[in-house]
Amino acid sequence: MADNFSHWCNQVTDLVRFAPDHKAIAQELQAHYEDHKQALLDLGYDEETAAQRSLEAMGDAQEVGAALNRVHSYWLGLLWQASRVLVVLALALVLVGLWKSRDRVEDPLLRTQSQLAWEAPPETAVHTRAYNADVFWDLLTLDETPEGWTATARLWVQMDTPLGFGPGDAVRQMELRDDQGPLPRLDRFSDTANGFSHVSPTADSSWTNFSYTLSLTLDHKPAWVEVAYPYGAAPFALRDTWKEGTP
Amino acid sequence: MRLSRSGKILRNLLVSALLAVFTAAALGFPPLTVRQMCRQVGRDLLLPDLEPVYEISYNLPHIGSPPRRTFVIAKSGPTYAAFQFQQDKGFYSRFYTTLPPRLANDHLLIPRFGSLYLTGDFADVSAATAQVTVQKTTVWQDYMTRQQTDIQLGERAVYTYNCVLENDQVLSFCYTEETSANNHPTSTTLRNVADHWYRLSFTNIPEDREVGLGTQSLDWEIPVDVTLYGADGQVLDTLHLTASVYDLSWDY
Repeated sequence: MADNFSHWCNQVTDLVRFAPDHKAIAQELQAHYEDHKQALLDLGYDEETAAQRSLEAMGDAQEVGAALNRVHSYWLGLLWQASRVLVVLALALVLVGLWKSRDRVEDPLLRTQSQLAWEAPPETAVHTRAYNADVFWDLLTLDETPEGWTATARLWVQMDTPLGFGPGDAVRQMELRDDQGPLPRLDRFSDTANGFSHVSPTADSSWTNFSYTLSLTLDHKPAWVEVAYPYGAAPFALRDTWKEGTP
Repeated sequence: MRLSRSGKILRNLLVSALLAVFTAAALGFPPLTVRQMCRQVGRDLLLPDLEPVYEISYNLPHIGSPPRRTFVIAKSGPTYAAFQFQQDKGFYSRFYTTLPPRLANDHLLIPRFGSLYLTGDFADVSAATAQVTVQKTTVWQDYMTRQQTDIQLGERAVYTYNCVLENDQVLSFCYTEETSANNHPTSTTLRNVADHWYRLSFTNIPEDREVGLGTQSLDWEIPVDVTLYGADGQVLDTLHLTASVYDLSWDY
């Protein structure tokens, strides 16, 4: 009798086009068949009669097969399989991406940390609007030393979007000058007189908020210092003078 | 909750999309085309509508899978930008080591892959020559104060190169032939001269620093005079430009 059920089950699953579902369909049909048979055995039917009645109750194999073929749609099944493959490929891509960016794995954390720790420019800072960012410039300190003068200034750049690496490359192309003439460009490190001892990116790795502190070494007392970006369709120059109270 | 098959498909597509975005973010949103490279660089350089005007890709000789570098010259308003990307295992990433992004208004002169590339409006130019003047230069610097104390000038050489009109905004002047002999220290190719003729030396070195502090390469601007000629051979303009020793030495 078990052979009869297997034969019936094969007839049903043969009518379902999406083959990967055959096993699950067979298991479900088997469960229904076994439940029905057990119920009949509990009512006192003998094994052979219970099996025969249960198989008859399962219905016509052609009708059941056609109905199940409609439920287990071939194209939906293929799409489902394809989506599973896609997830596996995407996971593989993540592993490749993480492996290739392993040196920068801390980057998102550092960026978030810098973004949160960022201090907005003071109201005294001069401001201009660049193509896709707001730029602020403020002269902070001016001190007389035996060799001349040291000054610090800060540049803030607020980008419109968090995409990209940030404005570091643009900042390094910026030009400095004071009332005595041009100072070295920010990518030409110079710690000699009338240069700068360092450009300290207080927030060079962030999402949208960036800031840089400059330490200038000068052989004269400057009246003002200007930072300029003479490039592109929206060039700008920001000039700040020393605040009252500086020597 | 048990999802229907349609629900599972939707869930899988959503998970795949999220994983793809996560991967792209981890890789810094790698560009796939030169236009995407320009968009990415333009955003960081605060340059709107940075459009490519010239590009060249170059396979570096390397054992195994050779990294492929793409050098791009792009324009935004009056500004030209030169930058480089490297393709490794299918992904492009910005390559700074031998070329941090360079900017100039109108005329940008940049050595790359054995040629000097010059930008500008060259629609009327039918020929051009570049005259590069190199001279053995040693700059002496006080180690303690970083002040320049002396400059020693030596042997001088002038190289003249004819141009290739790449397009109406880019000219190139080839200055090298890829032969192994050119890598020898006595070779007088421009790249080799740039490598060996410009030096930074120190005086007033503290006694405890004498070990390991030898002569260093000097980043110096080498004069390059470019003469532009029109169709009938008349001189249209002469440009007095410079190329950096660093860019010449690391032109790949």
